[in-house]
Amino acid sequence: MTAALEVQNLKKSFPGFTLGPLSLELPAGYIMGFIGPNGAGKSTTIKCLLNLFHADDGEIRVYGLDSRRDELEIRQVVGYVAESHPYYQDMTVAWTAGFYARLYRHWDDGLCRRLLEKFNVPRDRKVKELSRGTRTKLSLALALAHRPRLLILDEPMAGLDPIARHDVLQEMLAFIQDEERAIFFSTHLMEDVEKVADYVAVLNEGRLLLCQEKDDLLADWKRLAFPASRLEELKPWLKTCQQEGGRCLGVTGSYRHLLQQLPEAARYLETSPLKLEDLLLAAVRQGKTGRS
Amino acid sequence: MLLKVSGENPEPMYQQIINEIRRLILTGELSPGDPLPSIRELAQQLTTSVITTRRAYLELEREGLLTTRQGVGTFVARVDRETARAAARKIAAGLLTRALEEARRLGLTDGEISAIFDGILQGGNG
Repeated sequence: MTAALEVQNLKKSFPGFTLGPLSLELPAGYIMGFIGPNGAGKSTTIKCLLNLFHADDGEIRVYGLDSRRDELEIRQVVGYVAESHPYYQDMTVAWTAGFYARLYRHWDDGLCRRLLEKFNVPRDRKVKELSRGTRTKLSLALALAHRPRLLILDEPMAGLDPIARHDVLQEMLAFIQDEERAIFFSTHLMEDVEKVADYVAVLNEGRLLLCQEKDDLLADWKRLAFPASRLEELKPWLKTCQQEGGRCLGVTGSYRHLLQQLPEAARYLETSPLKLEDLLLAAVRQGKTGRS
Repeated sequence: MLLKVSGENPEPMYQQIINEIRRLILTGELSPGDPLPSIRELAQQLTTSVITTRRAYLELEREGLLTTRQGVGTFVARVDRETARAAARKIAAGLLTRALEEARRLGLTDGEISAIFDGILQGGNG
């Protein structure tokens, strides 16, 4: 099966910042959430995927198409929602839709109208008169209307209220009802990744810390509490640990392996699930202490 | 098919889906032969991921509660008495395991916990 998105050893350097080498693969039919702190390189990665930045090294393939050789064809296949929405501010929504229609071979005008209506984007309004949330919805409608196979969304939820966010999540899941399609989205909103992402990629300081099925990630990353007397035997599995009196609180990134190797630990370990947000914190912090 | 699941619940989402469908089958709200939504449909309905939903379906197939006919869909299996009892035991074991873990953490011995359990069974409060 061809992957929807395949990145191999992607590298891009700027003065003071290096992205990569970064490799990841998103199979068709699934959603990948791309998370990491500000400045981690998420937008740079996305701009490389779209060939808006030219990578220094590495390969990017979209349904087998090469990002450099087949750049124009990839634009037809990819629906892109940028972080900021680069439209002509003085033009109306309808004009903007007409402008985009001419760029795409598979433009579906009926679908565009239906989506704008569904998202409550007024066609006769000028772009500059739209709220940030409405501009995002316009952007999503335009990205969907040319019937792409891969959606790439850079912070699609920024500026959206909870109801609009739910609508966008629903639209994303509707999009992958067709198993040939896939979505790659970056976000700071961990709940959205927790809900709809099949895979999670964690980027920090230009490097990929984790890239796994979300359910495996959540099964392996747990918050642990245990008597301090057990600290020594648990140490190999701990990412972070704090001791207070006779009790320790820690985070593990390999809970299933721990239980396999040390089954008796189940008797004294207090385990609680880790939210993705805490997982990100622990992974990023460990990355820092690991180097120093 | 209406399932009660929530992101606030500390149990993993696929476990919540398994528990809910098991309950619907064991209480007879779903009958043998009833069709289930496709994995992707259910994922959208619950605003959850496709892989999570697939995991739940696979586990329920392993337990013999669901059966998938390639290219046709997923259905409630004809569940014999023993499979149904086994599934019910599994739910109960899950609940009791959590209580047991909590009691051990409070420092109670297995003997004490067992005595509490017997007490509750006999209608006392332990």
